[in-house]
Amino acid sequence: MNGPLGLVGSGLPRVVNFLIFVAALYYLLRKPASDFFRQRARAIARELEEARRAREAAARELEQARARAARVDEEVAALRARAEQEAEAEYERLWREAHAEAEKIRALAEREIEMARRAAEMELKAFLVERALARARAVLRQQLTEEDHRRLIAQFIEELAEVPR
Amino acid sequence: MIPTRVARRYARALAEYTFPRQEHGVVNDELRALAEVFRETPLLGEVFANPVIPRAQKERLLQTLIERTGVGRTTATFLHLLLRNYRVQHLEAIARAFAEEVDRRLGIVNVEVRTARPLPDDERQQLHRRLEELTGKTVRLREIVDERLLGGVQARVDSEVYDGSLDARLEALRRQLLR
Repeated sequence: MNGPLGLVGSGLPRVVNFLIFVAALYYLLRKPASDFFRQRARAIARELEEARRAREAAARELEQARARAARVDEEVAALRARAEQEAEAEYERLWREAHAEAEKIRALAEREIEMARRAAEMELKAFLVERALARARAVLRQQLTEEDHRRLIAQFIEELAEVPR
Repeated sequence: MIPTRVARRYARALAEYTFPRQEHGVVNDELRALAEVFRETPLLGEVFANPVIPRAQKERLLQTLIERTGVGRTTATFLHLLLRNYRVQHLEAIARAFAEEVDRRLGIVNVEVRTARPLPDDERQQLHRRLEELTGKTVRLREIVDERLLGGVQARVDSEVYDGSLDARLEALRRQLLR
């Protein structure tokens, strides 16, 4: 018997058995599987929720990072401006100091030059005066006559008369 | 060296004694002569200054000195007084102080006059007279011919100098030019 009845005749118990097996399996596994899938669904939902939160947190952090980045630019600009101001002020101060120092050095050099000039002038003058007087002494010693001596003595005697007693 | 003050004190005391007796001139001359002896013989001063030599020996030496120089009684007594007071070795200073004291009391002032050449007689007399008018005292001139001077006269009256030399004029000119 190869018709459907033949099959029934030969395979029906197997089918019934199979169905019974499936029904038993269903009966036995229905609850644990249901629990398993429910938990699994809940876990997936929780993971989804956590993923959502993480995404939101990441978005917030990204926003904050962007804000910070924007502020960093401002801070850098402010720092640069302050540094430029300070550098300018320092440059001014150093320039003023250098100028004052240069002025002092110039004044000192002028004074020293003036002193050296005066000293040289005095030295030259002294030299010329000494030379002239030495010459005058030599001439006087050579040319003073007895008459000149007497005249000098007479002059001294006259001058003594004018000295207060 | 004896302090001038001490020498003057002895000089004044001796003058007080000799002037009323009119002995100041003689004593002055005698002291000057003795001072000359001390100056020429430095050993004399050293002997009188030496404290190791007994006084009796010094007395004998002084007596010999007095006899040899033939000084009068007043001078001899004064010398013995100096010996008693350990001052004989300072006789030169005391004699000088006495001479100054005598001059002071007699109104005599010593004037040292320096000239390049010897003073002619006329000029000397005129200068002497003019100095006496200036000081109001009797002037004792001491002339020194100083060949370093160019010309003119320098007169020193005590510590005051009247400079009429050409050298002084040249010096004044030098100072003026260097000012």
